[in-house]
Amino acid sequence: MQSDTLLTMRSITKTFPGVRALDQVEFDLHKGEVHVLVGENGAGKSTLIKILSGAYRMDAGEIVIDNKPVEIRNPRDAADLGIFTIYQEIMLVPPLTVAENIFLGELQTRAGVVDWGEVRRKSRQLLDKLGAPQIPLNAPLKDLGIAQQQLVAIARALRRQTRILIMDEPTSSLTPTEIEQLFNTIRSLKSEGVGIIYISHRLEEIKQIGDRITVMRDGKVIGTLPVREAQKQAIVRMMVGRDVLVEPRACRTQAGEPVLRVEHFSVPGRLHDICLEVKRGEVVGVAGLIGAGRTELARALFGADKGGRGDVYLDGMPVRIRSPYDAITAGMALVPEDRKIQGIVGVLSVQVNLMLAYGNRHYPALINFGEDKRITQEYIDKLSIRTPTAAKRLMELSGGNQQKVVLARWLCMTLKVLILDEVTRGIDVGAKAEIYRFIDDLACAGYGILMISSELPEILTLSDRILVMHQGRITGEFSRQEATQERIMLKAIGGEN
Amino acid sequence: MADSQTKQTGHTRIGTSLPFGRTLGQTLLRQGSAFLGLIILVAIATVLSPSFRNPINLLNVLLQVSMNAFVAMGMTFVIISGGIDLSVGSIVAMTAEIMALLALRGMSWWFAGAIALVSGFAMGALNGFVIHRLKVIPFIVTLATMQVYRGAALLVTNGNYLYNLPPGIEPLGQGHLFGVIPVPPLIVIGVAAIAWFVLAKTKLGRNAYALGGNEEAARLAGINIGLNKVTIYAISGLFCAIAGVVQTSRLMSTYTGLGTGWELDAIAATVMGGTAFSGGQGGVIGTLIGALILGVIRNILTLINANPFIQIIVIGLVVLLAVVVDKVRQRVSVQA
Repeated sequence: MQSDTLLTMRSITKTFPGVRALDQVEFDLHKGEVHVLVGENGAGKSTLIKILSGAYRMDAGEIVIDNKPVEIRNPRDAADLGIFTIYQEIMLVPPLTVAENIFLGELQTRAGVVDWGEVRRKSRQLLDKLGAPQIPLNAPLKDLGIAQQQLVAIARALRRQTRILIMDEPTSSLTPTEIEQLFNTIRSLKSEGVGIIYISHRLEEIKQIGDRITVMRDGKVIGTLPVREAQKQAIVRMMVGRDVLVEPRACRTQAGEPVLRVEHFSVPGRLHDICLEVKRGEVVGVAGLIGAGRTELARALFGADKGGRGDVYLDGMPVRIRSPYDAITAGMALVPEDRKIQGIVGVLSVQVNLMLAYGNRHYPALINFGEDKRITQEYIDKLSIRTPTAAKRLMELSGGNQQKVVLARWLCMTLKVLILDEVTRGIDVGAKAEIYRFIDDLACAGYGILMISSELPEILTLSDRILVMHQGRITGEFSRQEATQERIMLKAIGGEN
Repeated sequence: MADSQTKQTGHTRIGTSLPFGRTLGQTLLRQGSAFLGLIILVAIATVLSPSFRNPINLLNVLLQVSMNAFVAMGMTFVIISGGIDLSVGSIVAMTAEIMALLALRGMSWWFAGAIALVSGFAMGALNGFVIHRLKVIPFIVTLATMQVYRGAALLVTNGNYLYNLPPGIEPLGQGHLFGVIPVPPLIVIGVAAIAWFVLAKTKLGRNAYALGGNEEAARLAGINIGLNKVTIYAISGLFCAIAGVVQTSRLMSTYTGLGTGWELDAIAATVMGGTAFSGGQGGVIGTLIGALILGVIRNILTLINANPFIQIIVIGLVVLLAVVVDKVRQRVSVQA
């Protein structure tokens, strides 16, 4: 066993002002192992890997690689030791080509001139090895799908001798097929003796790919155990320190009046003849693969993208929606797909973020600070948003709490239809369960909810009805009773049954 | 991942936080580093030249920074909303000229002044409209209108000075309250109070911060991006017009080159005052402090008879230093 140990981190401690981010953390990694790191947001996983990759320096502790103590002062030290990190947000340069991105910063030169032949040959080799010969070397990275961009990021990590590969939520935006492909890549890296630290929120994946699992909470390691001995409920309990009840449906009023009706709705080239209905108190799940047109549907209905044609009725009244403002006025809300880019204004306070839509609609010219404060406090309490004060900048809160603020932005208004696009993406288990409970509460309170999600268990847990989209069309509809993962997937890939 | 958020816990960026719900005093306190910089600078100035402390000199400094203060406050609105306005100097020239020409043709000063203000507002609004409609970045649009407005100013007067203006408006630029305090700095204070109020207390102000912080998120929250942008650039134009009117009444003449290069001083004052160039953070109180810093540096260099060309270099270096200090301070408080 000793000879197998690639990396040992001992008593790692790191303190930020007011927070002990890591407290005497012990972590090790064997050759050819996938060591899964789980924990709620703020548990210390990112801090740990940032220390390992040279982004932060630890206050105390020791890092040993191949039985030799090493010092990692900056990302270059980490790279020299063969440590590479693939972050959740892919850190590449979108306008540059695939080959340029793979060798960014170390383009091969001959007599001072870039040797493009060599760069292309090596890039091709790396991509072929990753089972991605279809990726064009000359395409700008931004033209590739997220899954392919990720493969490029992995190829980049492998351009040098990689011994330790750190992957931070690599599957968060991948489809099941792409995930399978990624897992194959991981397996082949394992067989070459690369040690992989794998951070994930998706407990289902861990069983498939992980060897050992370490659970962190509040900057401490709670425990490390072999994956095959790890029970899902036990892991969740270790992560949150309590039992999480993901218990859907309490009191939904069955079969209310249709609150949203969409007929023959199209966006040229993207959505074709969409017809759907959401009843009061109903959660309608929208499943499908990335690129099936689910987000396009949400955005076009909400007036965020132009070009939507067709009839939309709210409470039986035809409405014409040309902008988000029209949609809000009609009684619709959208929690967008990408929280950071479309949802929050990170540099502004919790209060301003929460009151953004309400204030814009209801304040004449002056801000009513009394009302602002009262409503903000009410929703901080109602959704148990964990923030020291309402004046805290939103980007300083965890992802789950940020998303709760975005939800609260809409809940404080009197609306009828809520469109949720990947509402729990990148959110830890604890906050996820809370958000599920709100969705349930909202349905009980009479909202019609259209919920887009790439996580089938989430759709199956929460939805009363499930629509499946494929290539811009609705290809299937299931009641809660009929729906299974297999049936949904079949429709999502365009199959018949 | 939240760990990256945890690292920021307990760290507040002094000087650039939001003024919402705070009193004027609290806002002033929050302009920490800029304010501290000003105090240090004043201390240095006092040591370097005894005549700096002379009340007449100090009032003179206030008078000299007034024009930049107007323009920079407008610039602050624009930068907070995530934009930039390079056309400010040209708008100053245009509005000054409009007022002078109308007065020369016999229109009453107050009416001519009002028309100048409206034209400034309109020129700014046009900037905002083009930026929003054509989806061209503000830098390019205002770079173009900087030329267009300057060219128009040249065209109207054929590049000539306008002087021998009829009397009546000079108290605005040349007057003194109680016979001592020059009027323009008082107007600055009045305008600053309004600007502060708009940014801190009104929906328009909040929308400006939201736009600069994340335009897409603001749009999806139902905020009318076009209307707000037009208004924000119009405010910048209006503040330039105020500068144009006050400057004309101070000199009792104007010329087409008025305001050349003022955009740089305005940007410098704004950024030194802690308004983030990336948008979403900052305020006019900081900008006033930034304008004072620039004014004090110029004054002291003049008092010690420094080579005027060296003055330009020093100003450039100080702007750079201010921004670097701010960056370093931010990094230190994050990593500490």
